[in-house]
Amino acid sequence: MIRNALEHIQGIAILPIIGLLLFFAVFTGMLIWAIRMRKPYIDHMGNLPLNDGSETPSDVPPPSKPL
Amino acid sequence: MSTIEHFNYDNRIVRDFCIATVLWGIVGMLVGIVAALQMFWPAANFDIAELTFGRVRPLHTNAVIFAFVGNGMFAGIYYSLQRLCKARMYSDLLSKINFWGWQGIIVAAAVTLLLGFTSSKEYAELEWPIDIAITLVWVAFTINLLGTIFKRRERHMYVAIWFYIATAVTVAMLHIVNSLAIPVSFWKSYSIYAGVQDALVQWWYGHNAVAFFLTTPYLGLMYYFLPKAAGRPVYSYRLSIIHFWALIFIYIWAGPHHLLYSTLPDWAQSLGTIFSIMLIAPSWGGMLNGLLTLRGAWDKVRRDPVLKFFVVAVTAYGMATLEGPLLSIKSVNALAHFTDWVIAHVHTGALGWNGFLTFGMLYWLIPRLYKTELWSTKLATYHFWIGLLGMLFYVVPIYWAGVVQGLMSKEFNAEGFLQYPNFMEIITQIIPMWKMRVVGGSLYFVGVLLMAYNLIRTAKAGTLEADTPAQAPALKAVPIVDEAHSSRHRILERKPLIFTVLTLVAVAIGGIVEMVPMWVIRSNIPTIESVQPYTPLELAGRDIYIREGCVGCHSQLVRPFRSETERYGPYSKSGEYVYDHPFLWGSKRTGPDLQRIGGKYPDAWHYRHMEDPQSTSPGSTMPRYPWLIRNQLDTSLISKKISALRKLGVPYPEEMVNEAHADMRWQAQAIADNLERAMIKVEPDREIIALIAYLQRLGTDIRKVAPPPVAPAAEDETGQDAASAYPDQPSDDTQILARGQQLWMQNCMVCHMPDGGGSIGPNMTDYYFIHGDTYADMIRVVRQGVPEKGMIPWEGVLSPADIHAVASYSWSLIGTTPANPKPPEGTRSTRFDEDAPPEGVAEADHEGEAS
Repeated sequence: MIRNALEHIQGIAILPIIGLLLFFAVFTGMLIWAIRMRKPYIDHMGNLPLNDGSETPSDVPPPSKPL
Repeated sequence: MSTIEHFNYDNRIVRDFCIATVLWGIVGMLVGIVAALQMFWPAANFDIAELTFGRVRPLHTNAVIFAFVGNGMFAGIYYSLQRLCKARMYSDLLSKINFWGWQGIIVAAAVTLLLGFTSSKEYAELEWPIDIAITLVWVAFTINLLGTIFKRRERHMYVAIWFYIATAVTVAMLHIVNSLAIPVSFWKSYSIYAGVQDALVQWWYGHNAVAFFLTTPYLGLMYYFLPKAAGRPVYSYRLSIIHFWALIFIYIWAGPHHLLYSTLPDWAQSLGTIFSIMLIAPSWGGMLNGLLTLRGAWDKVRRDPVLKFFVVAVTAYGMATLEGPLLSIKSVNALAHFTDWVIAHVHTGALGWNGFLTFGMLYWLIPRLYKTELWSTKLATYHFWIGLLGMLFYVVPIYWAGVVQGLMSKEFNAEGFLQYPNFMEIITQIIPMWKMRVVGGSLYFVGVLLMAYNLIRTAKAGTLEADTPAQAPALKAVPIVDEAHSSRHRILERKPLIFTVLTLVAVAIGGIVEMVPMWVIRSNIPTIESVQPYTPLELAGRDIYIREGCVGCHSQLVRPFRSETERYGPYSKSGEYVYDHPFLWGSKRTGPDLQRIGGKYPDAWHYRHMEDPQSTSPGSTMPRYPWLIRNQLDTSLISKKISALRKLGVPYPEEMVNEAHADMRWQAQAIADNLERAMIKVEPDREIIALIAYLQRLGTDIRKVAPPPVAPAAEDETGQDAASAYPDQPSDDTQILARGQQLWMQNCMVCHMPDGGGSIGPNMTDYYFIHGDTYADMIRVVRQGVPEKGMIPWEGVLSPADIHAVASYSWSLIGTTPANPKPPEGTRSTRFDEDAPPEGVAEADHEGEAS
């Protein structure tokens, strides 16, 4: 079995560091992406649940205006 | 201009899932109440194996998680996905397969769990044929989900859909990796992982079952139904995106926080703690995003029961996700783990977050599906308040019970001994809290019944709109104006796929980094030379232990705390579990830990204890197991079991496959003979024999290497040499007697009773002696035992000082009056005549004696 092939992995500590860097990179990228989103896009996305194309007007108030 | 397309939303499937949600909610919660009753009233199983706590508890957890919340999740997803995609579900057939397949799995689960077919891995108890069925139905759901997204008419995917995609791919990954097992028969398999590896995989799964089955789909529902009910968009869409990515990326790492202070390597435990604490940020971001959506609409919360439910649900989400990280801090975990605290924590999440969000969603959905108004808003408001009260009545006592259990089990007295050495002393304290829990749970259950009635009346008042007509422009015809997206329109179709792959990568990294080192690096699981595989009979006993769900109340993991090593014995090591397919560490101590139970009590004690736990442990809340004594042990699979385990790397010699039956008979006969010497007549082919064999083996392997603390200097018949190490008079030193009492409560009371009145062992308070009436005789019996009668030789287990202490304590009991004295045995001693009470009184104590 493969388990018997490896007695130790040298420098196991690198794994969590890679994990941390990866996490940090993805998180930062996502943060920048979210912050740079345009206002009209945000408003459109936020209103998606309220505007579902079905004919139940009582449920659907007019989309709120951008603040 | 683009053409407007007309289509219909499928409401029937949503309605069907709603009915299933309510139905299974009622069943699952009722089973929960039955389980809660059995916690303090074990006779509520009516001596029926199928209704016993060990089997009912997994039924409760599976029913509320996968049946109640599972159906609620499908109902919400099938409703919101169609509308967010402006498209009907991809395939009505797949929708039906999803619905009926899921209900079939639930029924199969309910039947097999009660029959004792279980893998014993929490929230993954179902045996392999059902696991395969789950995989197939889940694939049907995922295809239906992605198919709908591919044919959507709305270009952008709302954040709720992201949560649904993450749920679909992650649950598939978790389920498959954790359920890998080698089948022995149709209803029996062994996990391919063993011991600490199995524990890590299981809790990577178990934790993320909470994360990706109870949390992410419901967050998707929150992001859809909360804005719908409030009539305003989510507070911050940006925050919802950050919530999503941070949550799925961090959640997957946090599993090892279920294994703090276990034998898992420290680096893995630390990862679990760190990522758990990081989770507070996205979780609270999500909670605040939900609550702030209601800014300026709080007046609606006063009127609308739907919003009331949502507010409590989101708040409970925030509470539970703050508490979870706190419980993952090692010092908090040391106190809370294995206690009711964790039960209270999960019920804050289950009753508050999942329950209340489901109720709010149902109150919102059913009137719309039936084109009518809710039958009674007032009744729904009553449901809200009764449910909220029920929740509080449930969690507050159980938090209390958890803290009490944690503190009492760690308390030492001034002499440095455990304040409560007898586990029952702790349980007795928390039984009132368990009773209050039933009151809270019942209130919550009554609320659900009110809801069911209200929803039925609502449905009767309206008619189901099976198909809601809708219209939207076809997507491909929309001119692309957003410069952020290229004109290559094919990217639209590919985006969900890219997104799905990215999600899978994000969740897979955490699993890989944590688990692969555990699989491939030997130094992570130090082996112990003396640890050997279970004998065939012990293995059969272990499978009975698994079948009866003993792991639901008994851990097999002694944590490295002095309070635990004093109470149970040496702390556990990874190397002890290398042949444990599956691991049986447990997650709750309603009874004591069993890792070091082997050799602690005689076989006869275990027999009596399984026959009637209260006869050996007064006040015990453990159920009776009469069927283990009745049932003949099924040995037909033993050769197959040995072969299966050999394939997994358990080093049974090849001959063992064929010799297993003979080996079992030999070992069973030895135990039956042992029991017969203690006046217990039982056939060697009964299940109880195998279970005793397993329990007596537990945790004993490491003792084989440890040299006995006292060299067995005196093997001669008198034991003169070693005996000279002991005083010839009992001590009256209070400290020595206190230590003696401590040892008595830990070791002796199970056979001689706490007050020395005797049960399996003789009465130690009377003036009758079987093996001699001097203190030296007593020391000799404690040291060498009376193996043929079940008295264990304590030399080597207890130090000479401890043997002197416990013998002194026992001596001090002579002449006292126990509650239920056992009739005297042996001959009456005249040594005590001076200070003995007058003959008449002594005779009265020994009524029924013919001398």
